[in-house]
Amino acid sequence: MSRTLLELVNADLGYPGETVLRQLSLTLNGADFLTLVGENGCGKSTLLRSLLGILPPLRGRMTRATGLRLGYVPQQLQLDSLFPFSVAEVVAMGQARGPKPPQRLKEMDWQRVEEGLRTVDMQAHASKQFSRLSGGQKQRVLLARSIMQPVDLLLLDEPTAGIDPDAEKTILNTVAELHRHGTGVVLVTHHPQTVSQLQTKVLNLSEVANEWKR
Amino acid sequence: METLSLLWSMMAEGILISFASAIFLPLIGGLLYLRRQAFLGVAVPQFSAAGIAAGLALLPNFPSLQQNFLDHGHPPLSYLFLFAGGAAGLALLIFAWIEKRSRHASVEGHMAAGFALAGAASLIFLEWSPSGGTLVDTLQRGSVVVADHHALSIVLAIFGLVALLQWRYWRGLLLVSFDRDAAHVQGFSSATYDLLFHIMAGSAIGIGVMTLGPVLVFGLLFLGPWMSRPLANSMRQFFALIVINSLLATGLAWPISFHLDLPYGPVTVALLAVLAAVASVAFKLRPRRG
Repeated sequence: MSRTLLELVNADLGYPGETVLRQLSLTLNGADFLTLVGENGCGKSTLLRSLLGILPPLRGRMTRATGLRLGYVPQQLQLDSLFPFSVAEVVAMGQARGPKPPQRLKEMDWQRVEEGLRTVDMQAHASKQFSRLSGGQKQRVLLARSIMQPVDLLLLDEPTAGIDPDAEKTILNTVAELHRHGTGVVLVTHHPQTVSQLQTKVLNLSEVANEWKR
Repeated sequence: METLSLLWSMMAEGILISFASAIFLPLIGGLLYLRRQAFLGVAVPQFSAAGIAAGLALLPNFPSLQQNFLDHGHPPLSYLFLFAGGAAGLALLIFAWIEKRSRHASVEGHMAAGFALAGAASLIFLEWSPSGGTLVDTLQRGSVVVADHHALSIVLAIFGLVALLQWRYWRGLLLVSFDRDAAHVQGFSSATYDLLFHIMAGSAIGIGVMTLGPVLVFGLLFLGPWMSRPLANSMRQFFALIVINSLLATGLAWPISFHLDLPYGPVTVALLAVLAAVASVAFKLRPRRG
């Protein structure tokens, strides 16, 4: 029996003055692979941001396992391309853990960055500028960043949106591999068929929202 | 060579201040530029200038400081910094508060309004302190006018604090600036890092405006990042290029402004632009592999 990582109980989620999801209850265990689907605006990103702790529940409660280590893969489009980070510098960010200020990187840290990039088959691009990569390459780099440290629960926001089939395959294989090794996964997608070959639980938030409206 | 040794003997403190500013102001400006807060870097020095003007207007209330002004042509720098740094810090905090509070408002609009207001306040305060007009005019020309030994110690102390904060928090600051959500998940408080950045920016801009004047501060904050962004392939390169460009321009501007009898600030800004243009052309003409 795997431990409970995260639990929402009768939680209202959203922004002050704008409730997006009401009375949601959800339990995530260590071995879970949950796919969040639904139409635009149904609350997928709101739920993800709440699970990440960025948006605290407006009502109800959310509990996390003690010492829970989260990993997060944002949509590559959310990141500002004005920042001239190299691919290696982006992945290196994943080694920092607050609240203490991040330490200067040592030779060993850069070796770990290289290993991380190898996991997603991006080692040849380490010195390139992140903002000049294709969408699929960026998403693979962000996945490498999210697993630079051991992670109990990995949350991915539309990691396969608008990317080429090869990149999609690499990302889904890597995520499936992490899940096989005991990492819990929450993945947001518009296209449930992309994860249909993986054994995942699916939560359709459009139905949840409709249920509540009824 | 003779010119250089003459300049050094006459203005060693000013030269050292210009080099220190050429390292720290562009780093702050680079981050403001990447965070798309360049407008903030334009508005905040204007607030510093308004702060200086307010300090000068209040000077008659403090007879001993007034005497210092009459003796040296400027009041003690610690007194001026209280106003320049204070106004810069206050402006940064107010803009941050507005940005946080009003999700749908135009932050740029607020900054533009703030810029106009601070400009008007500077002129009104100066009207109340006509003797301060000369000092502010000299600052506008970027003549590093108040650069005596005392000024140098204060500038080095302020930039020392900025350097310490940068050394300790720079990587966290870059993470928070680039990806706030990931930073949150990794345990970093965006609010704390934003506050630290505002302290750094407010202090550096405040002391910069006091010693170099707003024109040179604008130039050092933004011409380097504007030039370096298309040339850099990593953050390390980006910041290194900015600092090299700024050090070259501030160094070359001393003998050029001396020979041509032109004000130091505008000459430095013009040189920053020329170096940026040369670097961009060289980058475009570079031999490519393959």
